[in-house]
Amino acid sequence: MMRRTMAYFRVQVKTYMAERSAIFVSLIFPVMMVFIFGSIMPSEYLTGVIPGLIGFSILTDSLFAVTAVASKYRLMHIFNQLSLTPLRRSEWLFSVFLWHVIIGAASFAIIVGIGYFAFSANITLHLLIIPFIAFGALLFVSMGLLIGTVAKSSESAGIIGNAVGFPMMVLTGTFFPVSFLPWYLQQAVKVLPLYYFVQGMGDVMVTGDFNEGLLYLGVLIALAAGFFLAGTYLFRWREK
Amino acid sequence: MIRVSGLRKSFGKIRAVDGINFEVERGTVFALLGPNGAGKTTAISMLEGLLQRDSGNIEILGMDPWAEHGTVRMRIGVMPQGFNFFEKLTPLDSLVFYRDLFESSVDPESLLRLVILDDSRNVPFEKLSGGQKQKLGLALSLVNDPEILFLDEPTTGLDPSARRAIWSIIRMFRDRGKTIILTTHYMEEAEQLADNIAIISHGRIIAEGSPEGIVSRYGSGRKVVIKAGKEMGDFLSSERIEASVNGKYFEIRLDPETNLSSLIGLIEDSGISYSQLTVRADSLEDVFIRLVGEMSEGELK
Repeated sequence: MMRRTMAYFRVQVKTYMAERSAIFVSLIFPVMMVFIFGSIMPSEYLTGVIPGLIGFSILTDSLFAVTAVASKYRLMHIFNQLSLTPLRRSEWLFSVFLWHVIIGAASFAIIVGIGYFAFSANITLHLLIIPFIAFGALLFVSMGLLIGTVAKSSESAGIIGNAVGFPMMVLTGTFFPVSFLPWYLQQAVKVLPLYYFVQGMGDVMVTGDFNEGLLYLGVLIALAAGFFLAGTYLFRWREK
Repeated sequence: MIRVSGLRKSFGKIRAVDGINFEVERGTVFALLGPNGAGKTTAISMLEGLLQRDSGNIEILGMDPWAEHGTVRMRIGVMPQGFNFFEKLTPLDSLVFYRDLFESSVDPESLLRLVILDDSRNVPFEKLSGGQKQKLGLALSLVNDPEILFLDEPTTGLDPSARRAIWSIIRMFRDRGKTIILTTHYMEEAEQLADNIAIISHGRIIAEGSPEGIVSRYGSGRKVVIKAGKEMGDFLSSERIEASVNGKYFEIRLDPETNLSSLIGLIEDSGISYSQLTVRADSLEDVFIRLVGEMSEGELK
């Protein structure tokens, strides 16, 4: 099983290395964001938005990339092609998940490293960060799989992905605290899955409120499980 | 080796495959020949286990390709129509990926040489020409040394030399005792490669047999073909000689009672000039066009 999972993992690495825009979005863009916030805001503000920048990175890496892959490979009949090999659907999914966890962890390390060493961000590192990154990646990989599977075309997959992703990218505490929003929007953002990632990571890394952090982690796990089940239920190698 | 009976598949109200039956023996090449939209790809997709059938039976190596896909896929190779793959992967990367998945001992370089793609081994898939992509599809279908090879329009869009290269690989594969199912709308391809042919139109098989057998069964024997102007048509009508007109060509079918030398003498004596006069038998293409045409007319009625 691991041999086949790793064979597809190598395909993802080669595809990623050949795709400059992917490298920019996942690794260079977070660096730019930390530099921008670190240069124009006091370090307390940067500390506050670092969990949001990590969430932003994991969302863009996983949701948009998997939405595109799931719709494109289906429409190009690449999933059909893979179904004729010993690679199983579950192995493909695990390989995709593994890749996005690693990219998410790399984004985390870059953002935290630059924030801490270049701009003196006051961040706490805790083991709870690991499940946040793992289930965050699982959540957005699953959402991307679901959107890419149900969309009729690559164009509509992109539109749905953007419609789902952009409100989360802006409103859930990624670039400014949710408390800056009007009251009704503060309530509305609670339906956005990224909110639980950003707030929970903020509890663990910034405020040290681990009880609330665990509560948000629980919601994140439940959301990841729900979207994972829905995505894998609808996702098909072969057509009926 | 392959048994298909009563196979049906509909998409909404369209009956793409409408009750087809055939058998294919080991070590032979079987061609599904038909116009675009005849149901060839739908049929072959069900045989490959990629598409679920509505009804009927399929036996591939004694197994159901949909229900036992996990076992069947290890013993077949598939080259789909308009083959697509990971855009950034090179042919060499792609073959190494497949070799790892199948845990095969095949040498990717030798497969690249076999399909004459070794010069492009490090070119990303998105930069390959249509013919090179098809060749990679063929190479990937051979990685697991399959017992049955399914080729869906393998040479569509290829230049003549690439087409012949693929034909020689198909022949070599058949000579090793393997079985090939191919779909095509090229008559020459079917005549060159196939031991048996099924002509498919509107989801139904309308003729089946060896290429020679189909021509002798459904063909109308010999005919005289004359390339000439309109006055030739008027002359043939005045002599009560039945001829079909196809542009500048007049075709006179020869029944057993017709005396060929008398007919040619009559045309010569008329003094009407012509640029070409040939006597030939029906080809597979003639039979194909007639059968598919009759089927379409029947559908319209």
